Amino acid sequence: MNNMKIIGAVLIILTSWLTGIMLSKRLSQREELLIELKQLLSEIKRRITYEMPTMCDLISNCGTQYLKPFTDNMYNSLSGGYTINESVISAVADTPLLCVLQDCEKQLITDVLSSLGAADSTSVREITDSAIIQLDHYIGLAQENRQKNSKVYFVTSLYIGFAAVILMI
Amino acid sequence: MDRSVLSIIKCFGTELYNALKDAQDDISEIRIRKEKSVVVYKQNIPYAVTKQGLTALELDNAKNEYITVSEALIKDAFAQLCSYSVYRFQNDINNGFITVNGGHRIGICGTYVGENGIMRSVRDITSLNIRIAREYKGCSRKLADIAGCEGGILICGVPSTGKTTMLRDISRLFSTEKMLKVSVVDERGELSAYSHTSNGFDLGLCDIYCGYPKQKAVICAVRTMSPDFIVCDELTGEDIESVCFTVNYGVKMIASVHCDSLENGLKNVSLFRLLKTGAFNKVVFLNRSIIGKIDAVYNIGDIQKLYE
Repeated sequence: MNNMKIIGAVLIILTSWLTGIMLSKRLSQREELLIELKQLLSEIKRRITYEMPTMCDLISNCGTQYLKPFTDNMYNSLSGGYTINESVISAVADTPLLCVLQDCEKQLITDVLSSLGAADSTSVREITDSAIIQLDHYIGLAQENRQKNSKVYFVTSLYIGFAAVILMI
Repeated sequence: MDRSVLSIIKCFGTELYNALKDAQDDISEIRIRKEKSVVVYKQNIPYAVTKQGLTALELDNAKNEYITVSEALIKDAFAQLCSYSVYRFQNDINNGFITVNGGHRIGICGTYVGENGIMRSVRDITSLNIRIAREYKGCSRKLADIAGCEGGILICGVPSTGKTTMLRDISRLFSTEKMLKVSVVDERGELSAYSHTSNGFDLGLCDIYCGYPKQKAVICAVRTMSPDFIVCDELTGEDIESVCFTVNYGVKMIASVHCDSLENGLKNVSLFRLLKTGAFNKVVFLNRSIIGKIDAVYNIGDIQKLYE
């Protein structure tokens, strides 16, 4: 019986601790994802400037380097005859990888990729430059958030685990 | 009808697609205007499109049977035709057209958008004219036999008389049967219709400069591809310098130009200057009613006597 209690207590602490680790990992995942999105947009801008590929080819080529699950979803929708707007919206919604992003960040990606298809080459540069500046701002916020809260989640989750065990005992 | 044409028509809705999918493959133009009946041209005769197919065009459309296309559908279709990549077609859009898969040229009418005197784009598109490109192998054989390959050939005709089709075929003929080195300047992508998704029309063993401005392509071809012939479509007065360049380097030219008759041609300053460059030995006029039919072939010497 005592052994069962010990095992139960360890499990509770472990679960709580792992939850804390996952939450703090989400913070760093968000930061990494935003950095990768920025790299994707820079690559898109470069390719449009020098090669002028179609959106389909652009997404397919850029996807081999950045955010493959998201670009694959978008490419499949575009190839399936959906409009660019529909493809971006469904790719953002259907890619689990992007669930760590905040709504404003998802909206930025949707707006940028939808408007690229209807822009001339000068506007493409303006749109991507402005989006990259905005992403830099979000990356800054994400870094700050991670630095502030990562340890908090880690430590708090341990305390909660211990507190739960004590209460139960 | 060709699959590339059907894929264009599909962009304008299932109603139009179902009406035209079984139509015969002799349509030369499809004109789409905002909130007006879709008009199809066969042998320069207009037909309206109903759900049952083509019918004689009556202006009042009393029975409301004709298929029309809304402004929103034109906008969506245009975005789709540009593969949602307007930036890729920006130069062409500013020149009033785009060339899509299959080499079909789509003329655009809308509202000009400019900034500081420079055209940026076209908005509120109200009309589209889909000119269907075709390949007729052998259509230039008679022309090649008459004109020969000792000198340049200038093909003249009004729009939709088959000038581009002739150029396509003569490029193929000269590069394969006569084993000549032919460079094709395909400024608008209509001659070759080459894209990364398809090989386009068969131009034989030609070297193709796709999308290049004429002057640039001519210089590159002469300096690097050592061509026997350079093929160009739709020469204008602005291309005189390029034509002179080829003459200076001893390269012959096959080109087309808009002109309905020799009489009017001689009054046209640009055409007059083109003929004087010495780039062309033969001038060919195509029939305005029967597509691809040769009306007359003139030696440059005879024309020179006329204008002297």
